[in-house]
Amino acid sequence: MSASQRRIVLGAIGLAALAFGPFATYQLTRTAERSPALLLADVAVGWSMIAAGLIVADRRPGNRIGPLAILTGFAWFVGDFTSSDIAVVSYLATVVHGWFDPLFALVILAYPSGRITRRLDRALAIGFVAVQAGWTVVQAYALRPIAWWDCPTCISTVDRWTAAYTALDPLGRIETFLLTGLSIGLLAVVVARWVSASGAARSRQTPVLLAGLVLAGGFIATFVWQTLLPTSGREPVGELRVILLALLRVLVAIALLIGVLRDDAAKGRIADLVVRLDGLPPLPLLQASLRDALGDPSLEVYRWEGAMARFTDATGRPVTPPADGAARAVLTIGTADAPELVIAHDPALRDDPGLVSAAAAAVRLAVENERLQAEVRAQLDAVTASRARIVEAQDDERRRIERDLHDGAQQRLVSLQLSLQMLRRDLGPDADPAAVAELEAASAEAAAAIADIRELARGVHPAILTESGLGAALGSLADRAPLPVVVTDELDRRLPGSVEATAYFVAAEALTNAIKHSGASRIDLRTWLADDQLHLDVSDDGRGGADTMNGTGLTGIQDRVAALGGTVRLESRDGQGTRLEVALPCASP
Amino acid sequence: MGPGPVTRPTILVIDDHGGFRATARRLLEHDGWSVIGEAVDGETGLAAAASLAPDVVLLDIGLPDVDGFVVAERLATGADAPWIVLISSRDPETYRERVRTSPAVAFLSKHELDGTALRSLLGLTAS
Amino acid sequence: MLVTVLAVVVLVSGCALGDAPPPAGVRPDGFPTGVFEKTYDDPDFGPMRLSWVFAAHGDWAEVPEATAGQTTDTGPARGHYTVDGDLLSITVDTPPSWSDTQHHWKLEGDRLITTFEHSDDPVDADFFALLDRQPWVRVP
Repeated sequence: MSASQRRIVLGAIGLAALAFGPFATYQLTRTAERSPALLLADVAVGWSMIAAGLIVADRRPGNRIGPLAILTGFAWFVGDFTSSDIAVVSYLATVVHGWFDPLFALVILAYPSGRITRRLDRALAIGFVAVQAGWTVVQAYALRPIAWWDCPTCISTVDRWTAAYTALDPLGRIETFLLTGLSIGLLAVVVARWVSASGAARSRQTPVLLAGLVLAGGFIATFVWQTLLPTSGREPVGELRVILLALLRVLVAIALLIGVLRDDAAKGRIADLVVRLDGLPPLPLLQASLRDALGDPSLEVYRWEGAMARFTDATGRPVTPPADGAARAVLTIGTADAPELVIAHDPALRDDPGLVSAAAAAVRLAVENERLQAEVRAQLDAVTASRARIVEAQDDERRRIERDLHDGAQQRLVSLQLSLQMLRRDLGPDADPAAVAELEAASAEAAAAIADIRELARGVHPAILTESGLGAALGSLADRAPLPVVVTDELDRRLPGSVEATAYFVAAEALTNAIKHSGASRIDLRTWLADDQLHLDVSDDGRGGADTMNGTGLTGIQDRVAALGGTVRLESRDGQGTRLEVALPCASP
Repeated sequence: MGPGPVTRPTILVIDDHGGFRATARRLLEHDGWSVIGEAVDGETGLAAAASLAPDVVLLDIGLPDVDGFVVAERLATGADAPWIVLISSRDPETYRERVRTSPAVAFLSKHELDGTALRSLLGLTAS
Repeated sequence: MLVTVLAVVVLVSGCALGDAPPPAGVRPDGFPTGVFEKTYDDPDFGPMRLSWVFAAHGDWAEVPEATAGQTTDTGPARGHYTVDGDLLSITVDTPPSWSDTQHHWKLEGDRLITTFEHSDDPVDADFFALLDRQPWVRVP
């Protein structure tokens, strides 16, 4: 049933109660004059139980207390129809009217979760229902008008009827005796629970305590009245007593309702808890949050230290958590083989399993969240490491290419050149000028080829970077620039190859951009080390206004920098020059 | 410091590449040098320089055992230190500062090896 | 739950023992046996049907029924009767608060005419004055 459907049903029940209640109370006037106070009290009891039941059914749909309380309220109103002047109605009402108190007892026993779990509670509940059911059967048999019996005018029927009717009185006393005993038992249980509870658990039990007192009090009063004043059970009772009892019942209904609404507040705190537990907080904070949310100052949280295979409490002391039992309720977050957290709380909270399981769910969520975050972090670390490795591999490749170029083609060209030089000398001073010219041309070609390859190799990976380090390489860049480039090199040591290479290529790219686009008259290159990071600063006094790094070769560089875990920042305002800042972490090589 | 004008100045070639040593010898001797020794690495080079006392040492930077600059430093100490000319198949830009601070008098790229130019560079003109 | 209870009630009440009312007849002393009834308008309870049951051996019962579905506070009475000439004496065993009564009787076909004679309870005089206005009619 969806929420709106449920609301419609509850609304219909509420309207029915609104009409039925006064109609039922009116029936009381059919047999005797009743004071308005009594009539008001009568309506109040039924309505308060039904209203409480409707609110509970709306706020806590799964909780059986809602429908139970509504039923109890209607049972109360049905009882009014014993005064009806329609024989059938009066008969049925008389048979059924005693159910208000047992149903009320069930509400008390099932509070606040709507379930009766403890064995003693179950026994009491069964007792109430059995006694009342038995009494209902007896009354149904004995109170039938004679006309409904088989052969009303048989002497034997009259005898049977008479016997049943006379037996009703002592049986009624037995019924009252049993119900009184059961209600005293219920009161004892409720008082014991209230006394043994503490803090929030006790205040949660207070409405139940009051209800138990009212129930038991009502029965004891009736029992005493019946035993001390032996008359037939249909003696009209003192109006004051009735009104008083009715008022107490109304108060109890209100108290039970408040109890449920307060648990809603607790649910609200649990919801807050979910929001607050963004990831798993340190254990003391988690413990405080749970204590606050569940209203249990005795709650303790233990964390499993996998590495040392033991539990520690919120203060960090190694300790064995208590076992789940009557003295302490314990719940485990995680599995039996892989526990994460253990929460030990007041066993009275078991009465409200929904609350505890909501809190446990919140904690599980936080634990899971934490685990997922750790996974994501680990994955991120793995990806970062992988990217860094790719960059390093690329740098290694470039260095290899450069070396291969140098050791291969370059060397051959050098040999070729030297051979040409030798050839020139071998030709001697009387050589054919044409041949000499050819030779010199070839030599020039060779020299040009050597220069070309040198340039190419420098673009791939400048040898000076490997040989002499970043500072020297930047100096080389500066020397070859068409603009004045001032290099301030504060590095006092060599850095890992990929760091130096990345910084170099960033500087080279930035320099190219500055030279090509900025219209600057001077460029400053600064490097320094701080906090285990290499800082590179390229600033020019050009026209600025470079709003993004897109469209320049710097976007590719950005990836390299990011892969090494570094940062790139571009500052370029119109007319205020451009400044590129790069920071690269350098782990010790 | 160096010797006075002589007919054929002496030179020691220290380079690990055999082909280059052979070519260098032919080229230098053609250009009026007397190649009195060859060495394949730093240590043998130092020993050869000590025993042969050449006028000039043609020293490859990229030696297998010791860094050329270190050899240059060691060659430069002691009495009658020869002139040191550094050579490399790489361009001088690669070494920049180190060349500037080295006791060597000159740096040559290998493909620029020219005995005559070397002699005029060092002021050792032929008679 | 309530349905079960009512079902049990119906079941339980269904175990009648195949009873029958005392057969219609006449005793040697001329007094009839069987069931006689009359309807009257009770001042407290409204329209009622009252049945008097005379068994052969002196067992007597009075069975009231509300004929308009109204609630009544009265139930059957049980006792004995003796006949002495034209005097019918009814001794009420239950309810214990009811008094014994005496009536003159006359049987005319299937009509039994009783006339109130005496009761220890003064209220009965008025009641029977109302009741005696019509005869008892035999129920076949």
